[in-house]
Amino acid sequence: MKSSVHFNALALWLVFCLAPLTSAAIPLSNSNNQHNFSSGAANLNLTTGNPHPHADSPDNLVSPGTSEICIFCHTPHGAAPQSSLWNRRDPDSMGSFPVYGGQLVIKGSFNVTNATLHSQYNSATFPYPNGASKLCLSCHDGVTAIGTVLDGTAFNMLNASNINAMGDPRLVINLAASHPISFVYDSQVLSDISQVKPLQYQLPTMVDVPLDGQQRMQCTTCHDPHEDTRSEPHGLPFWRHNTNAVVSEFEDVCNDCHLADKTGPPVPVLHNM
Amino acid sequence: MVFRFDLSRERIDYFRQVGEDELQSPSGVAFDPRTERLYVADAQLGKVFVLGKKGELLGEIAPPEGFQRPGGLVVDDAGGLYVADALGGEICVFDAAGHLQRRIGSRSTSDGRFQRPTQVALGPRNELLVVDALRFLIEIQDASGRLLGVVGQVGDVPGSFARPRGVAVDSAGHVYVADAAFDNIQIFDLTGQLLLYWGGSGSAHGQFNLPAGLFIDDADRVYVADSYNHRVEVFAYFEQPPAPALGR
Repeated sequence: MKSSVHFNALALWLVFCLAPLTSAAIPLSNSNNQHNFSSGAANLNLTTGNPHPHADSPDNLVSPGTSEICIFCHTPHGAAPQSSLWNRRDPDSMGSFPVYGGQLVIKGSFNVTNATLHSQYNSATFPYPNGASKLCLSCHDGVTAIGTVLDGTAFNMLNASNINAMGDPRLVINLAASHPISFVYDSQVLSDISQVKPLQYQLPTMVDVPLDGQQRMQCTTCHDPHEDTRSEPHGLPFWRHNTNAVVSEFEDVCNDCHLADKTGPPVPVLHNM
Repeated sequence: MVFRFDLSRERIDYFRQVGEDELQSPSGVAFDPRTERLYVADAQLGKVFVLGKKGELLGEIAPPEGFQRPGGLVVDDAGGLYVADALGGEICVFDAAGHLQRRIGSRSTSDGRFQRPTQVALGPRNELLVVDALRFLIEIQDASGRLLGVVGQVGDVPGSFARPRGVAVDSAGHVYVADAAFDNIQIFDLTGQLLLYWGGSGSAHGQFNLPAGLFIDDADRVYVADSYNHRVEVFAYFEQPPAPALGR
Protein backbone atom coordinates (compact mmCIF):
# COMPACT_ATOMS: atom_id res chain seq x y z
CA MET A 1 0.00 0.00 0.00
CA LYS A 2 2.73 2.39 0.97
CA SER A 3 4.74 1.85 -2.19
CA SER A 4 1.60 2.36 -4.22
CA VAL A 5 1.05 5.71 -2.59
CA HIS A 6 4.63 6.63 -3.30
CA PHE A 7 4.26 5.54 -6.89
CA ASN A 8 1.12 7.60 -7.34
CA ALA A 9 2.75 10.62 -5.82
CA LEU A 10 5.72 10.17 -8.12
CA ALA A 11 3.46 9.81 -11.13
CA LEU A 12 1.60 12.95 -10.15
CA TRP A 13 4.84 14.80 -9.70
CA LEU A 14 6.00 13.66 -13.11
CA VAL A 15 2.78 14.78 -14.72
CA PHE A 16 3.15 18.24 -13.28
CA CYS A 17 6.79 18.39 -14.27
CA LEU A 18 6.35 17.12 -17.77
CA ALA A 19 3.23 19.03 -18.66
CA PRO A 20 4.96 22.37 -19.29
CA LEU A 21 7.53 20.63 -21.48
CA THR A 22 5.05 18.97 -23.78
CA SER A 23 2.38 21.61 -24.03
CA ALA A 24 1.51 25.07 -22.91
CA ALA A 25 -2.17 24.16 -22.88
CA ILE A 26 -4.07 25.36 -19.86
CA PRO A 27 -5.14 22.35 -17.78
CA LEU A 28 -8.57 22.06 -16.29
CA SER A 29 -7.15 22.68 -12.86
CA ASN A 30 -6.16 26.15 -13.99
CA SER A 31 -8.78 28.76 -13.25
CA ASN A 32 -8.42 30.22 -16.73
CA ASN A 33 -9.58 27.03 -18.41
CA GLN A 34 -13.03 27.80 -19.74
CA HIS A 35 -14.36 24.42 -18.73
CA ASN A 36 -13.47 25.20 -15.13
CA PHE A 37 -16.70 26.65 -13.77
CA SER A 38 -15.77 26.16 -10.15
CA SER A 39 -16.01 28.89 -7.59
CA GLY A 40 -12.25 29.18 -7.52
CA ALA A 41 -12.13 30.10 -11.17
CA ALA A 42 -10.76 33.40 -12.23
CA ASN A 43 -12.68 36.29 -13.73
CA LEU A 44 -15.69 36.03 -11.53
CA ASN A 45 -17.45 38.96 -13.06
CA LEU A 46 -18.07 40.32 -16.47
CA THR A 47 -16.02 43.44 -15.96
CA THR A 48 -12.95 41.36 -16.63
CA GLY A 49 -14.12 40.75 -20.13
CA ASN A 50 -14.18 37.03 -19.71
CA PRO A 51 -17.21 35.76 -21.61
CA HIS A 52 -17.74 32.96 -19.12
CA PRO A 53 -18.72 34.15 -15.67
CA HIS A 54 -17.96 31.38 -13.32
CA ALA A 55 -19.34 30.32 -10.01
CA ASP A 56 -20.47 33.09 -7.82
CA SER A 57 -18.28 32.61 -4.80
CA PRO A 58 -16.38 30.00 -2.84
CA ASP A 59 -19.00 29.99 -0.14
CA ASN A 60 -21.93 29.31 -2.39
CA LEU A 61 -24.72 28.97 0.10
CA VAL A 62 -26.77 26.27 -1.48
CA SER A 63 -24.43 24.47 -3.81
CA PRO A 64 -21.06 24.15 -2.16
CA GLY A 65 -20.23 21.54 -4.79
CA THR A 66 -19.40 24.32 -7.19
CA SER A 67 -15.95 24.49 -5.65
CA GLU A 68 -15.32 21.22 -7.48
CA ILE A 69 -14.05 21.36 -11.02
CA CYS A 70 -15.09 17.99 -12.41
CA ILE A 71 -18.82 17.97 -11.70
CA PHE A 72 -19.79 20.15 -14.63
CA CYS A 73 -19.07 17.31 -17.03
CA HIS A 74 -18.59 14.27 -14.81
CA THR A 75 -21.74 13.96 -12.75
CA PRO A 76 -20.94 12.49 -9.34
CA HIS A 77 -22.90 9.54 -8.17
CA GLY A 78 -25.71 10.83 -6.03
CA ALA A 79 -25.65 9.43 -2.54
CA ALA A 80 -29.15 10.41 -1.55
CA PRO A 81 -31.73 9.43 -4.12
CA GLN A 82 -35.25 10.60 -3.51
CA SER A 83 -38.09 8.19 -3.60
CA SER A 84 -40.86 9.32 -5.80
CA LEU A 85 -44.07 10.01 -3.93
CA TRP A 86 -46.56 8.01 -5.84
CA ASN A 87 -48.60 4.98 -5.15
CA ARG A 88 -46.88 2.64 -7.56
CA ARG A 89 -43.73 0.60 -7.79
CA ASP A 90 -40.57 2.54 -8.59
CA PRO A 91 -40.93 3.70 -12.15
CA ASP A 92 -37.80 1.99 -13.43
CA SER A 93 -39.29 1.51 -16.84
CA MET A 94 -40.50 5.07 -17.07
CA GLY A 95 -37.32 7.01 -16.64
CA SER A 96 -33.62 6.71 -16.49
CA PHE A 97 -30.57 8.22 -14.91
CA PRO A 98 -28.05 6.79 -17.32
CA VAL A 99 -25.00 8.96 -17.06
CA TYR A 100 -22.82 5.94 -16.51
CA GLY A 101 -25.07 3.35 -18.06
CA GLY A 102 -26.94 2.80 -21.26
CA GLN A 103 -26.34 4.99 -24.21
CA LEU A 104 -24.14 7.54 -22.55
CA VAL A 105 -21.42 5.11 -21.65
CA ILE A 106 -18.47 5.88 -23.83
CA LYS A 107 -17.22 2.32 -24.08
CA GLY A 108 -19.22 -0.82 -24.56
CA SER A 109 -22.61 0.78 -24.63
CA PHE A 110 -24.03 -1.36 -27.40
CA ASN A 111 -22.93 -3.51 -30.26
CA VAL A 112 -22.73 -1.84 -33.61
CA THR A 113 -23.39 -4.18 -36.45
CA ASN A 114 -22.47 -3.60 -40.02
CA ALA A 115 -26.11 -3.42 -40.95
CA THR A 116 -26.52 -0.26 -38.92
CA LEU A 117 -23.59 1.58 -40.41
CA HIS A 118 -25.31 3.05 -43.41
CA SER A 119 -28.41 4.22 -41.66
CA GLN A 120 -27.02 5.68 -38.50
CA TYR A 121 -28.36 9.17 -38.89
CA ASN A 122 -31.85 8.14 -39.82
CA SER A 123 -32.31 4.98 -37.82
CA ALA A 124 -35.06 4.97 -35.27
CA THR A 125 -32.94 2.91 -32.97
CA PHE A 126 -29.42 4.23 -33.41
CA PRO A 127 -28.86 7.06 -30.98
CA TYR A 128 -27.41 10.23 -32.40
CA PRO A 129 -25.49 11.88 -30.96
CA ASN A 130 -23.97 9.22 -28.78
CA GLY A 131 -21.01 8.60 -26.52
CA ALA A 132 -18.97 11.51 -25.30
CA SER A 133 -20.42 13.83 -27.94
CA LYS A 134 -23.78 13.69 -26.25
CA LEU A 135 -22.23 14.99 -23.06
CA CYS A 136 -20.64 17.86 -24.97
CA LEU A 137 -23.86 18.77 -26.73
CA SER A 138 -25.92 18.57 -23.56
CA CYS A 139 -24.21 21.78 -22.47
CA HIS A 140 -23.27 23.28 -25.83
CA ASP A 141 -26.84 24.11 -26.71
CA GLY A 142 -26.24 27.78 -27.40
CA VAL A 143 -27.57 28.92 -24.04
CA THR A 144 -25.85 27.02 -21.26
CA ALA A 145 -22.63 27.10 -23.25
CA ILE A 146 -21.60 28.51 -26.56
CA GLY A 147 -23.33 27.47 -29.72
CA THR A 148 -20.93 29.21 -32.05
CA VAL A 149 -17.50 28.54 -33.41
CA LEU A 150 -14.63 30.75 -34.48
CA ASP A 151 -16.33 32.41 -37.40
CA GLY A 152 -19.52 32.99 -35.49
CA THR A 153 -21.51 30.41 -37.35
CA ALA A 154 -24.17 28.85 -35.22
CA PHE A 155 -23.89 25.16 -34.65
CA ASN A 156 -26.91 24.69 -32.51
CA MET A 157 -28.72 21.54 -33.39
CA LEU A 158 -31.54 23.13 -35.29
CA ASN A 159 -29.39 25.51 -37.24
CA ALA A 160 -31.54 26.97 -39.98
CA SER A 161 -28.99 26.20 -42.65
CA ASN A 162 -29.46 22.55 -41.91
CA ILE A 163 -33.15 22.64 -42.55
CA ASN A 164 -34.50 21.91 -45.92
CA ALA A 165 -35.53 25.09 -47.69
CA MET A 166 -38.89 23.58 -48.51
CA GLY A 167 -39.73 23.53 -44.86
CA ASP A 168 -38.94 19.90 -44.33
CA PRO A 169 -37.90 19.90 -40.72
CA ARG A 170 -35.75 16.80 -40.99
CA LEU A 171 -32.16 17.45 -40.18
CA VAL A 172 -29.78 17.24 -43.10
CA ILE A 173 -26.15 16.48 -42.44
CA ASN A 174 -24.46 18.73 -44.96
CA LEU A 175 -21.04 17.23 -45.50
CA ALA A 176 -19.88 20.28 -47.40
CA ALA A 177 -20.38 22.47 -44.37
CA SER A 178 -19.90 20.26 -41.40
CA HIS A 179 -18.07 17.32 -39.99
CA PRO A 180 -20.24 14.48 -38.74
CA ILE A 181 -19.74 12.93 -35.33
CA SER A 182 -20.94 9.84 -33.51
CA PHE A 183 -20.36 7.55 -36.46
CA VAL A 184 -18.45 4.30 -36.59
CA TYR A 185 -15.23 4.55 -38.55
CA ASP A 186 -13.64 1.15 -38.72
CA SER A 187 -12.05 -0.98 -41.40
CA GLN A 188 -15.43 -2.11 -42.67
CA VAL A 189 -16.66 1.46 -43.08
CA LEU A 190 -13.38 2.46 -44.68
CA SER A 191 -13.73 -0.41 -47.11
CA ASP A 192 -17.28 0.67 -47.97
CA ILE A 193 -16.26 4.28 -48.51
CA SER A 194 -13.23 3.33 -50.53
CA GLN A 195 -15.36 1.48 -53.03
CA VAL A 196 -16.95 4.81 -53.89
CA LYS A 197 -14.08 7.16 -53.20
CA PRO A 198 -10.85 5.22 -53.42
CA LEU A 199 -7.64 6.50 -51.91
CA GLN A 200 -9.22 9.42 -50.11
CA TYR A 201 -9.47 8.13 -46.58
CA GLN A 202 -7.59 6.09 -44.06
CA LEU A 203 -8.16 5.07 -40.49
CA PRO A 204 -6.58 7.47 -38.01
CA THR A 205 -3.09 6.51 -36.94
CA MET A 206 -2.14 9.19 -34.44
CA VAL A 207 -2.47 8.79 -30.72
CA ASP A 208 -3.98 12.28 -30.66
CA VAL A 209 -6.83 11.28 -32.97
CA PRO A 210 -8.56 8.61 -30.91
CA LEU A 211 -11.81 6.96 -31.82
CA ASP A 212 -13.87 5.88 -28.86
CA GLY A 213 -14.24 2.35 -27.56
CA GLN A 214 -16.85 1.63 -30.20
CA GLN A 215 -14.62 2.87 -33.00
CA ARG A 216 -16.76 5.96 -33.29
CA MET A 217 -15.59 9.41 -34.11
CA GLN A 218 -16.69 11.88 -31.48
CA CYS A 219 -16.04 15.47 -30.49
CA THR A 220 -13.29 14.05 -28.33
CA THR A 221 -11.48 12.62 -31.34
CA CYS A 222 -10.18 16.11 -32.10
CA HIS A 223 -10.90 17.97 -28.86
CA ASP A 224 -9.76 17.39 -25.30
CA PRO A 225 -12.03 19.42 -23.03
CA HIS A 226 -9.46 19.25 -20.25
CA GLU A 227 -6.79 21.24 -22.04
CA ASP A 228 -7.50 24.78 -23.13
CA THR A 229 -5.37 25.45 -26.19
CA ARG A 230 -6.86 28.68 -27.44
CA SER A 231 -3.72 30.60 -26.63
CA GLU A 232 -1.57 28.27 -28.69
CA PRO A 233 -0.24 29.49 -32.05
CA HIS A 234 -2.91 27.53 -33.90
CA GLY A 235 -5.63 29.13 -31.78
CA LEU A 236 -7.85 26.07 -31.90
CA PRO A 237 -10.03 25.50 -28.88
CA PHE A 238 -9.25 22.46 -26.78
CA TRP A 239 -7.30 20.89 -29.62
CA ARG A 240 -6.12 17.44 -28.64
CA HIS A 241 -3.10 17.34 -30.93
CA ASN A 242 -1.08 20.00 -29.22
CA THR A 243 2.60 19.19 -29.25
CA ASN A 244 3.82 22.76 -29.04
CA ALA A 245 6.47 21.74 -31.52
CA VAL A 246 4.59 21.28 -34.76
CA VAL A 247 3.09 24.18 -36.65
CA SER A 248 0.70 22.05 -38.66
CA GLU A 249 -1.26 20.68 -35.74
CA PHE A 250 -4.62 21.41 -37.37
CA GLU A 251 -3.82 19.94 -40.76
CA ASP A 252 -2.14 16.93 -39.23
CA VAL A 253 -5.35 15.92 -37.51
CA CYS A 254 -7.43 16.33 -40.67
CA ASN A 255 -4.90 14.51 -42.77
CA ASP A 256 -4.84 11.61 -40.40
CA CYS A 257 -8.14 10.48 -41.95
CA HIS A 258 -8.37 12.60 -45.09
CA LEU A 259 -5.40 11.54 -47.14
CA ALA A 260 -2.99 14.34 -47.73
CA ASP A 261 -3.06 14.12 -51.50
CA LYS A 262 -6.02 16.53 -51.25
CA THR A 263 -8.14 14.48 -53.59
CA GLY A 264 -10.74 14.09 -50.90
CA PRO A 265 -13.46 16.55 -50.09
CA PRO A 266 -12.37 19.79 -48.45
CA VAL A 267 -12.07 19.39 -44.74
CA PRO A 268 -14.76 21.50 -43.12
CA VAL A 269 -13.77 23.76 -40.29
CA LEU A 270 -17.28 24.32 -39.02
CA HIS A 271 -19.41 22.34 -36.65
CA ASN A 272 -22.77 22.26 -38.25
CA MET A 273 -24.29 19.46 -36.30
CA MET B 1 -36.14 29.63 -37.04
CA VAL B 2 -39.43 29.74 -35.18
CA PHE B 3 -42.20 27.34 -36.12
CA ARG B 4 -45.88 28.00 -35.54
CA PHE B 5 -48.26 25.07 -35.43
CA ASP B 6 -51.93 25.94 -35.79
CA LEU B 7 -53.44 22.74 -34.46
CA SER B 8 -57.06 23.72 -35.06
CA ARG B 9 -56.50 24.50 -38.72
CA GLU B 10 -53.68 21.97 -39.14
CA ARG B 11 -51.34 24.53 -40.58
CA ILE B 12 -47.65 25.08 -40.04
CA ASP B 13 -45.61 28.10 -40.89
CA TYR B 14 -42.28 29.38 -39.78
CA PHE B 15 -40.03 32.39 -39.98
CA ARG B 16 -36.36 33.06 -39.58
CA GLN B 17 -36.24 36.70 -40.57
CA VAL B 18 -37.15 39.27 -37.92
CA GLY B 19 -36.97 42.80 -39.22
CA GLU B 20 -33.44 43.17 -40.47
CA ASP B 21 -32.15 40.33 -38.33
CA GLU B 22 -32.00 36.70 -39.28
CA LEU B 23 -32.51 34.52 -36.26
CA GLN B 24 -29.29 32.75 -35.31
CA SER B 25 -30.00 30.80 -32.16
CA PRO B 26 -33.56 31.31 -30.93
CA SER B 27 -33.39 30.27 -27.31
CA GLY B 28 -36.75 31.23 -25.87
CA VAL B 29 -40.30 32.05 -26.92
CA ALA B 30 -43.24 33.36 -24.91
CA PHE B 31 -46.68 34.47 -26.00
CA ASP B 32 -48.85 37.05 -24.28
CA PRO B 33 -52.47 36.19 -25.14
CA ARG B 34 -53.76 39.55 -23.90
CA THR B 35 -51.76 41.59 -26.35
CA GLU B 36 -51.22 38.76 -28.85
CA ARG B 37 -47.54 39.50 -28.78
CA LEU B 38 -44.86 36.92 -29.30
CA TYR B 39 -41.51 37.37 -27.63
CA VAL B 40 -38.49 35.61 -29.14
CA ALA B 41 -35.06 35.55 -27.52
CA ASP B 42 -31.99 34.92 -29.63
CA ALA B 43 -28.99 33.87 -27.57
CA GLN B 44 -26.43 34.54 -30.24
CA LEU B 45 -27.80 37.91 -31.32
CA GLY B 46 -28.24 38.85 -27.66
CA LYS B 47 -31.70 40.25 -28.41
CA VAL B 48 -35.32 39.79 -27.40
CA PHE B 49 -37.76 40.60 -30.20
CA VAL B 50 -41.39 41.64 -29.88
CA LEU B 51 -43.50 40.30 -32.72
CA GLY B 52 -47.08 40.85 -33.76
CA LYS B 53 -49.69 38.31 -34.68
CA LYS B 54 -48.44 37.98 -38.23
CA GLY B 55 -44.83 37.72 -37.20
CA GLU B 56 -44.09 41.34 -37.92
CA LEU B 57 -41.44 43.04 -35.82
CA LEU B 58 -42.89 45.46 -33.29
CA GLY B 59 -39.70 46.22 -31.44
CA GLU B 60 -36.95 44.92 -29.21
CA ILE B 61 -36.70 44.69 -25.46
CA ALA B 62 -33.45 45.06 -23.59
CA PRO B 63 -31.96 46.51 -20.43
CA PRO B 64 -29.90 49.67 -20.97
CA GLU B 65 -26.65 47.76 -21.32
CA GLY B 66 -28.22 45.04 -23.48
CA PHE B 67 -28.45 41.33 -22.84
CA GLN B 68 -25.41 39.12 -22.82
CA ARG B 69 -27.04 35.79 -23.64
CA PRO B 70 -30.82 35.78 -23.27
CA GLY B 71 -32.37 32.36 -22.86
CA GLY B 72 -35.73 31.38 -21.41
CA LEU B 73 -38.74 33.71 -21.36
CA VAL B 74 -42.04 33.68 -19.50
CA VAL B 75 -44.98 36.11 -19.35
CA ASP B 76 -46.99 36.66 -16.16
CA ASP B 77 -50.68 37.41 -15.83
CA ALA B 78 -50.09 41.15 -15.91
CA GLY B 79 -48.16 40.97 -19.16
CA GLY B 80 -44.79 41.26 -17.47
CA LEU B 81 -41.94 39.58 -19.32
CA TYR B 82 -39.20 37.67 -17.49
CA VAL B 83 -35.97 37.17 -19.39
CA ALA B 84 -33.24 34.84 -18.16
CA ASP B 85 -29.85 36.26 -19.09
CA ALA B 86 -27.67 33.17 -18.90
CA LEU B 87 -24.36 35.03 -18.96
CA GLY B 88 -25.65 38.06 -17.13
CA GLY B 89 -26.50 35.87 -14.16
CA GLU B 90 -29.86 37.52 -13.55
CA ILE B 91 -33.51 37.67 -14.56
CA CYS B 92 -34.71 40.93 -16.08
CA VAL B 93 -38.40 41.79 -15.70
CA PHE B 94 -40.12 44.16 -18.11
CA ASP B 95 -43.62 45.58 -18.02
CA ALA B 96 -46.04 45.17 -20.91
CA ALA B 97 -44.73 48.40 -22.42
CA GLY B 98 -41.22 46.96 -22.51
CA HIS B 99 -39.75 49.04 -19.71
CA LEU B 100 -37.28 47.39 -17.37
CA GLN B 101 -38.93 47.04 -13.97
CA ARG B 102 -36.71 44.79 -11.91
CA ARG B 103 -33.57 42.72 -11.95
CA ILE B 104 -33.82 39.49 -10.01
CA GLY B 105 -30.73 37.76 -8.73
CA SER B 106 -30.24 34.58 -6.79
CA ARG B 107 -31.33 34.44 -3.16
CA SER B 108 -29.24 31.37 -2.52
CA THR B 109 -25.78 32.61 -3.40
CA SER B 110 -23.73 34.97 -1.33
CA ASP B 111 -23.20 37.47 -4.10
CA GLY B 112 -26.77 37.37 -5.34
CA ARG B 113 -25.99 36.17 -8.84
CA PHE B 114 -27.21 33.08 -10.61
CA GLN B 115 -24.41 31.07 -12.09
CA ARG B 116 -26.05 30.17 -15.40
CA PRO B 117 -29.77 30.98 -15.41
CA THR B 118 -31.02 29.44 -18.62
CA GLN B 119 -34.78 28.95 -18.26
CA VAL B 120 -37.59 30.44 -16.19
CA ALA B 121 -41.16 29.51 -15.32
CA LEU B 122 -43.91 30.88 -13.10
CA GLY B 123 -45.90 28.97 -10.51
CA PRO B 124 -49.61 29.31 -9.71
CA ARG B 125 -48.94 32.13 -7.23
CA ASN B 126 -46.38 33.82 -9.45
CA GLU B 127 -43.56 31.94 -7.85
CA LEU B 128 -40.48 32.39 -10.01
CA LEU B 129 -38.57 29.24 -10.92
CA VAL B 130 -35.09 29.60 -12.37
CA VAL B 131 -33.00 26.80 -13.84
CA ASP B 132 -29.47 27.57 -12.64
CA ALA B 133 -27.84 25.12 -15.01
CA LEU B 134 -24.31 25.09 -13.66
CA ARG B 135 -25.53 24.76 -10.09
CA PHE B 136 -27.74 21.85 -11.14
CA LEU B 137 -30.81 23.11 -9.34
CA ILE B 138 -34.02 25.08 -9.67
CA GLU B 139 -34.27 28.10 -7.41
CA ILE B 140 -37.77 29.14 -6.40
CA GLN B 141 -38.66 32.62 -5.16
CA ASP B 142 -42.09 33.89 -4.18
CA ALA B 143 -43.66 36.89 -5.91
CA SER B 144 -42.01 39.25 -3.45
CA GLY B 145 -38.58 37.81 -4.15
CA ARG B 146 -38.25 35.74 -0.99
CA LEU B 147 -36.39 32.46 -1.34
CA LEU B 148 -38.78 29.52 -1.06
CA GLY B 149 -36.13 26.90 -1.67
CA VAL B 150 -34.29 24.97 -4.31
CA VAL B 151 -35.10 21.78 -6.18
CA GLY B 152 -32.46 19.20 -6.90
CA GLN B 153 -28.70 19.00 -6.76
CA VAL B 154 -25.98 17.50 -8.92
CA GLY B 155 -26.07 13.73 -9.09
CA ASP B 156 -27.20 10.70 -11.05
CA VAL B 157 -30.06 9.51 -8.89
CA PRO B 158 -33.76 10.39 -8.76
CA GLY B 159 -34.20 13.92 -7.49
CA SER B 160 -30.85 15.06 -8.89
CA PHE B 161 -29.78 16.68 -12.14
CA ALA B 162 -26.87 16.31 -14.52
CA ARG B 163 -27.98 18.67 -17.30
CA PRO B 164 -31.17 20.47 -16.22
CA ARG B 165 -32.76 22.26 -19.15
CA GLY B 166 -36.44 23.17 -19.41
CA VAL B 167 -38.75 23.90 -16.50
CA ALA B 168 -42.54 24.33 -16.38
CA VAL B 169 -45.34 24.26 -13.79
CA ASP B 170 -48.79 22.74 -14.23
CA SER B 171 -52.06 24.00 -12.77
CA ALA B 172 -51.59 21.98 -9.59
CA GLY B 173 -48.19 23.49 -8.92
CA HIS B 174 -46.15 20.50 -10.02
CA VAL B 175 -42.68 21.39 -11.24
CA TYR B 176 -41.46 19.60 -14.37
CA VAL B 177 -37.74 19.60 -15.16
CA ALA B 178 -36.16 18.16 -18.32
CA ASP B 179 -32.67 16.72 -18.04
CA ALA B 180 -30.62 16.38 -21.23
CA ALA B 181 -28.22 13.84 -19.75
CA PHE B 182 -30.86 11.57 -18.28
CA ASP B 183 -33.23 12.05 -21.21
CA ASN B 184 -36.06 12.20 -18.72
CA ILE B 185 -38.46 14.56 -17.02
CA GLN B 186 -38.77 14.67 -13.27
CA ILE B 187 -41.77 16.11 -11.48
CA PHE B 188 -41.46 17.76 -8.07
CA ASP B 189 -43.74 19.68 -5.81
CA LEU B 190 -42.83 23.24 -4.93
CA THR B 191 -41.00 22.06 -1.83
CA GLY B 192 -38.61 19.96 -3.90
CA GLN B 193 -40.15 16.58 -3.13
CA LEU B 194 -39.81 14.25 -6.11
CA LEU B 195 -43.19 12.97 -7.24
CA LEU B 196 -42.59 11.08 -10.46
CA TYR B 197 -40.32 10.82 -13.44
CA TRP B 198 -40.61 9.44 -16.90
CA GLY B 199 -38.71 9.20 -20.17
CA GLY B 200 -35.50 7.45 -21.11
CA SER B 201 -33.09 7.59 -24.03
CA GLY B 202 -34.47 6.78 -27.45
CA SER B 203 -36.83 7.91 -30.12
CA ALA B 204 -39.95 5.92 -29.28
CA HIS B 205 -42.99 7.70 -27.94
CA GLY B 206 -42.29 8.89 -24.44
CA GLN B 207 -38.53 8.76 -24.89
CA PHE B 208 -36.18 11.67 -25.43
CA ASN B 209 -32.89 12.56 -27.05
CA LEU B 210 -31.49 15.67 -25.37
CA PRO B 211 -34.80 17.22 -24.25
CA ALA B 212 -34.62 20.99 -24.03
CA GLY B 213 -37.49 23.41 -23.48
CA LEU B 214 -40.70 22.63 -21.61
CA PHE B 215 -44.05 24.38 -21.78
CA ILE B 216 -47.42 23.63 -20.14
CA ASP B 217 -50.55 25.23 -21.54
CA ASP B 218 -53.81 26.16 -19.81
CA ALA B 219 -55.21 22.68 -20.42
CA ASP B 220 -52.21 21.11 -18.65
CA ARG B 221 -50.74 19.72 -21.84
CA VAL B 222 -46.99 19.31 -21.44
CA TYR B 223 -44.94 20.16 -24.53
CA VAL B 224 -41.38 18.86 -24.62
CA ALA B 225 -38.87 20.11 -27.18
CA ASP B 226 -37.14 16.81 -27.93
CA SER B 227 -34.18 18.38 -29.64
CA TYR B 228 -32.20 15.59 -31.26
CA ASN B 229 -35.31 13.65 -32.17
CA HIS B 230 -36.35 16.84 -34.00
CA ARG B 231 -39.86 16.84 -32.63
CA VAL B 232 -42.11 18.20 -29.92
CA GLU B 233 -43.70 15.56 -27.75
CA VAL B 234 -47.00 16.37 -26.09
CA PHE B 235 -48.19 14.83 -22.84
CA ALA B 236 -51.11 15.68 -20.60
CA TYR B 237 -51.55 15.92 -16.87
CA PHE B 238 -54.90 14.66 -15.64
CA GLU B 239 -55.96 15.56 -12.19
CA GLN B 240 -57.28 12.54 -10.40
CA PRO B 241 -61.05 12.89 -10.07
CA PRO B 242 -62.40 12.70 -6.55
CA ALA B 243 -63.51 9.25 -5.53
CA PRO B 244 -67.24 8.74 -5.89
CA ALA B 245 -69.13 8.91 -2.65
CA LEU B 246 -69.91 5.57 -1.13
CA GLY B 247 -73.63 4.95 -1.29
CA ARG B 248 -75.75 2.30 0.25
